[in-house]
Amino acid sequence: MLSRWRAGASGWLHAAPAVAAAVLFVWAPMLASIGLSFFDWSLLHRQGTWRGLDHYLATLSNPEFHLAAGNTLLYLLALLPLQVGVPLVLAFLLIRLRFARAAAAYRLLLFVPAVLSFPVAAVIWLWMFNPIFGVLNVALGALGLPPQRWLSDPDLAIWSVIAVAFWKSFGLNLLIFHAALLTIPQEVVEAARVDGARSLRLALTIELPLISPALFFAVVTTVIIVLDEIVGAVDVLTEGGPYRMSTNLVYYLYERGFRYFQFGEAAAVAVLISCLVALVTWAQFRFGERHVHYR
Amino acid sequence: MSTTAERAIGHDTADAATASPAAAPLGRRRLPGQLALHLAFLGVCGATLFPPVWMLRTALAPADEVFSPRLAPWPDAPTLGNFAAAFRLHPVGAWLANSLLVAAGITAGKLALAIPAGFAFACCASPAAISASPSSSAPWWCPT
Repeated sequence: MLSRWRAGASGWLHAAPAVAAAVLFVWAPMLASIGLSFFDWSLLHRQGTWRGLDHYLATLSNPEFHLAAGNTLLYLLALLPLQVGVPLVLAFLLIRLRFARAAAAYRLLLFVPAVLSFPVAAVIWLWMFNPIFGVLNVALGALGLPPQRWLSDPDLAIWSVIAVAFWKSFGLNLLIFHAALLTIPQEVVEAARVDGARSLRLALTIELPLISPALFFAVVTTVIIVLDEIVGAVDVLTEGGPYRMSTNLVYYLYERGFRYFQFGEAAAVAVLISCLVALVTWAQFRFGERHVHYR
Repeated sequence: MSTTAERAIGHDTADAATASPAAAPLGRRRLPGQLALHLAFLGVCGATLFPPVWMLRTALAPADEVFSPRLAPWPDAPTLGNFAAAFRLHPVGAWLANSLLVAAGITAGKLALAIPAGFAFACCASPAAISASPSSSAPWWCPT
């Protein structure tokens, strides 16, 4: 009884700083945002006018919001398979390299873009996408191909942002998958090889289930990153254009709040995005975690 | 047919065709396969590192060369003038110091909060873990 009480007290004591910080810096601002979403708020007069659910109704009926939501879905559908699938395949290949030092070197080099922030990565690519001096169009010209308007073509802009986001982020998942593969007991792998399992079968039926916790973690965090952090690239590369064809929900929120100073509407959008991300994350835990094998 | 290891982790793929008794001996990889893997990784690393290398090349190029559409991998007359100009025209030193301070502060703060909370989750299955779990995950699903 005493030991259970001690364990409980120890748990509270260790968790208290994180809980306090979350309450102070996350929950309190979130509650304030929820409250703000029911008001029109003026920076000049520092007073609000009650609007009820007007901001939510206006947001949900705004075609720009629909476009941003559709683009967000496109970002997710394009980037989730890329940012999970490609690093997974690379990690499986990396683990099969004979020279561990070479594998470590490749892993380090492929991780380089991940240490950059989204705005920095976007600035690098902004110069490369330049329609006149950019290296991509110069290279296309050298190959006899016509130049592309990477960031100003409505059909191409969103795919340029997706390419930058993929380049910037895949290294982190590669690191996670490779680290997980390294923890697989060698005797399990050798037992499978003795039984005649070749590389593909070994990867699909032995290694993949054993790294499923890492895979699940990567999927959950990638979804959150795609829904949220990609806004840094959108802002630098296209500012949501052309014709809002590359905007997303978070950039829509940023514009409402800090371009048009519609703080009440921006707060409503923030609440909707938080609910969306929380719902998607819950769904992943509810329906995805059952396929995870915890050792 | 399932392998011993598959049975050990609860899998039975029943795919005899892919399990060959003539598989390569333990620890042996064919040289051409390894060579192809290394070449593939060198190519992927080259493509991945091209943007930062091009950024460095642009940073070291004089202005007239920056605005000339050519594919030269290295500037004809590399110069540190762009860096000198950046430090002269803007408080880049202060920006670097600020970035360092913010990064160090955030890292230290995260570790100070997350390590004890992680310990609470892992070691003390208690109401503390239950209450701290949604609290600590909330920053993830708030738009930044």
